[in-house]
Amino acid sequence: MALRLFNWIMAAVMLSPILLIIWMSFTPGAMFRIPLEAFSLRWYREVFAYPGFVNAFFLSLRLAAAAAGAAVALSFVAAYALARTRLRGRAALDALFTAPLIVPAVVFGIAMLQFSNRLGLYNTFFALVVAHVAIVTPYAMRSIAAALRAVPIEMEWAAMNLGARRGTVLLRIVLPLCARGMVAAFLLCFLMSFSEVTVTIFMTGPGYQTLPVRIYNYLTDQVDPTVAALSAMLIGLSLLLALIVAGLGGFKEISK
Amino acid sequence: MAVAEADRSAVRPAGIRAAPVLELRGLVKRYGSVVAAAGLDLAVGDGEFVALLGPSGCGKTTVLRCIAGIVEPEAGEVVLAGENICGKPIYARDTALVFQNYALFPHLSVFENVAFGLRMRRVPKPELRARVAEALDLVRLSALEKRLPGALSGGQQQRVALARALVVRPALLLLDEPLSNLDARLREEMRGEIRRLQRTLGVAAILVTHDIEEAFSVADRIAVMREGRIEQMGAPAEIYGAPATRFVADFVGHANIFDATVRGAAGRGVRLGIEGGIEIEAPMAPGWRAGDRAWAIIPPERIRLGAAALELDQRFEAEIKEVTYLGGTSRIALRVGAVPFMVASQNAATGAPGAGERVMIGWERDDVIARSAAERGGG
Amino acid sequence: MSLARLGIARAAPARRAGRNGAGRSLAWLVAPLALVMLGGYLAPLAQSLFGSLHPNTPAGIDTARWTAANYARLADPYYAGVFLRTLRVSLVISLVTAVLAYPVALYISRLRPRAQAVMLLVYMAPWLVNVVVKAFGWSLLLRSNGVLNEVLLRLGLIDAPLHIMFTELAIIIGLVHGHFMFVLLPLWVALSGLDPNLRWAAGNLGARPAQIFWRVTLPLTLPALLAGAIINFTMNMAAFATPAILGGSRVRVVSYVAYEVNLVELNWPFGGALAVALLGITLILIALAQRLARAGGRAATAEAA
Repeated sequence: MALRLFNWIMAAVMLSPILLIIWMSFTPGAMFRIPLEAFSLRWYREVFAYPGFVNAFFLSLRLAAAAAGAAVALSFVAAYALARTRLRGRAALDALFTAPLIVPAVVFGIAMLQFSNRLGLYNTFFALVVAHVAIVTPYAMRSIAAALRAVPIEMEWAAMNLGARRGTVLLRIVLPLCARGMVAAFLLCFLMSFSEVTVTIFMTGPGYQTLPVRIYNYLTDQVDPTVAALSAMLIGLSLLLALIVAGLGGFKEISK
Repeated sequence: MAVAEADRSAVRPAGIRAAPVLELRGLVKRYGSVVAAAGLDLAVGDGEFVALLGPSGCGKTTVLRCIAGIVEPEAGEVVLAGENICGKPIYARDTALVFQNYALFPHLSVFENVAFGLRMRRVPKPELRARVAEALDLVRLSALEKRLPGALSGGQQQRVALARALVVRPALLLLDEPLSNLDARLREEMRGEIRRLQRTLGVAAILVTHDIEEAFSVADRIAVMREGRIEQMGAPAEIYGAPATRFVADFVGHANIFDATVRGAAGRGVRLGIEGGIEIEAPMAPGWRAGDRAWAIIPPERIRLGAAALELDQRFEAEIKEVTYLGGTSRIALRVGAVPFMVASQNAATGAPGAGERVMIGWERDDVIARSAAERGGG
Repeated sequence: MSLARLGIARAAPARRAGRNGAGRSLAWLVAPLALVMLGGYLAPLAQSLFGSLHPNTPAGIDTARWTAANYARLADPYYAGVFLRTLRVSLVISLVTAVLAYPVALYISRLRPRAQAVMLLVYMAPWLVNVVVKAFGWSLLLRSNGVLNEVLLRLGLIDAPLHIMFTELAIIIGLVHGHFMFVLLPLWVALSGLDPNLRWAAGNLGARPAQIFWRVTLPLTLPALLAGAIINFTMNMAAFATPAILGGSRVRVVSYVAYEVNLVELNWPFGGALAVALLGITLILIALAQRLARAGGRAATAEAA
């Protein structure tokens, strides 16, 4: 009984800042007040009226789509090769592909700041995509490897035995068979990239910011309910994506 | 080397006049210390149905995979239609493999599964449609062509797998334990089906199985495999009626196998001392001398009981130990002195003898299968 | 000589061959990702390590000279103090999270599967929500005129607003919340993988529930708890946005100082040294944790046996 009560208190604490933001985003005034009588969509309109947020949103969208797409495509062929061959440097490759889970994001952010500057790529879309691909690769590799494990090798033998070459087997048999896993991997990577702050903040100057970085900078500057409205929308987007990923079974591998 | 040569000629069937469709020469494949193929030779003639029969782990599936190209042998040749196809990729080999678990593509309809091989061969659309329809008709699945494999029963999936393999008109059909996932009744039905299809299309086929009945009922010739080599190859009747080694005799299900010693000649036959005390006669084999070690089989279905035994040339008094009623027949365990016998007897209306009774048993000398124990493999 | 021997003798000069078509030809498919990771991940890290070994000049990094001065500077009381604070705060967060997550995991693992999934999603929600958004939510709750203070004042529990924002406590609250899942999930996996027969057997032998917990359940799940806590710890050490928003310049942690050194001072060699030091501490801790978890696992199995 005590356990149950404790669990509900903890659950409430977990959700409280999230719910509070959503609630406050409907406040009519310029002060943060929990709206009890009057609800207003005023701050939602403000979000769209502020070009800084809108531009940042589209940058984040493009970045997350590009990074997730590239990571999933690269991870698919890499995971397939790792699953179907006995490579010599396998342990080293595994370490390389999972390193972003272990190396603190700040460390990579600093490294990327210095590196992209050196190559003249500071504050460019290309550098951001490369960094984000690296950050989301561990997630992509894990969920795609799990999806590939579910494809019996006999299925591939059967296709080859019927005359299909390796490329055809990959495209017409393996890919469709792990399509769910691939979609889940893409959405997960998208989510990770879309909410990435730490590395990105080191890599972007004032004029070129992703949405989370823009919010961060906005918060250090001023605080008004616009951020609450924007945050509420982001929460909704995240939860929507998360529910789709969960529906596709994409979190099973991450929890291991 | 002489042994190998002699063995190879023994393996090549006398009935094949033209060059065989498939010939394996000295095939070797090991997995660590496990030998899956130890210099194996095999030939399959045009339109012939060969069964590779053996216990699990004898290497029969590996041999099949070497032919299909899934596994590359360490040494030896795989000659298909006169061409050594070793090193050729899987997709370039003119074989069609039916997998134990069927390996149907779950995301493709029955039609698309069957059409897959034809699409890979870039067969023009009208011809493709006609050939798929023909293949589905052959396995009586035309009505289900739009279904996904997941919506089919085990037997139907099996038929799709067959149609998918046959539709490409392979030079050689390979069947890897195709019936082991079906229940007993369906298995029997599918055996007939496979045999019928193979005959109709006249395609050469190799069936891998550990099921003796399956091999006997389907194959023209059976190759009994053991530890990566072929122990004996021949027609089903030959394998059963004249097992070359004790292992084959055991594996094809013979009862009443005895260790024996050659005692001496007896007319046109030979006297054998069975371990346990009794002496029987057997047909003479060339080169036997007194004192040679041998083994002998007296097939249970050839042994007569009671009055029927009186006219036979080999007769012994036996004590019945146990009678197992099996419907049409009974299995009777007996003892002649210390030697245990098994007899299959037709159940007559008069009722079978009971345990503890003493009866006369007998058989003809020529029904006894006797072999020297000094042969290869030893047993 | 048996045929088998002949066959093997013939195969003596055999070439090594694997699965047909699945040999070397496929391996190159790893190359694109490996190249991206080498060029886009490993190379930047290596470059920072390289840069940290050279002195900083107004014109940039002087790669002609080598120095350890950037690392020596870490011992400066100011930076050493920042590291110590970060370590302390991170440790407190891990301990608090472990203590809070255990009962939650225990409770969830005893629910029916469907309820388990729902509860896990509730606890995963903070992880799915953007770090900046989460920190913003906590700032709304914790500031002087925030919701928490307002509620406590109205209830008469306090006379003056509590000052939680921009203190270590704010960072602790924010990160316990933000990194809760990394302790909860491994614990939940371990607890639901526990053979219920063990508990019943212990009960059958006369152990009371408390005894069962201390002598069976806890020892068996200790490795998972430890593993989760260490992951949690390394994440606390590296957190940036949460401590920056909730602690700010009044409670500087390593990542915040690293941000200032790299983007305000523009001293990249020293900024690189800070990064390398943080990475070094993280890797040492992870190695240590793996040893502890293994030892813990052995001890647990020994105790259970």
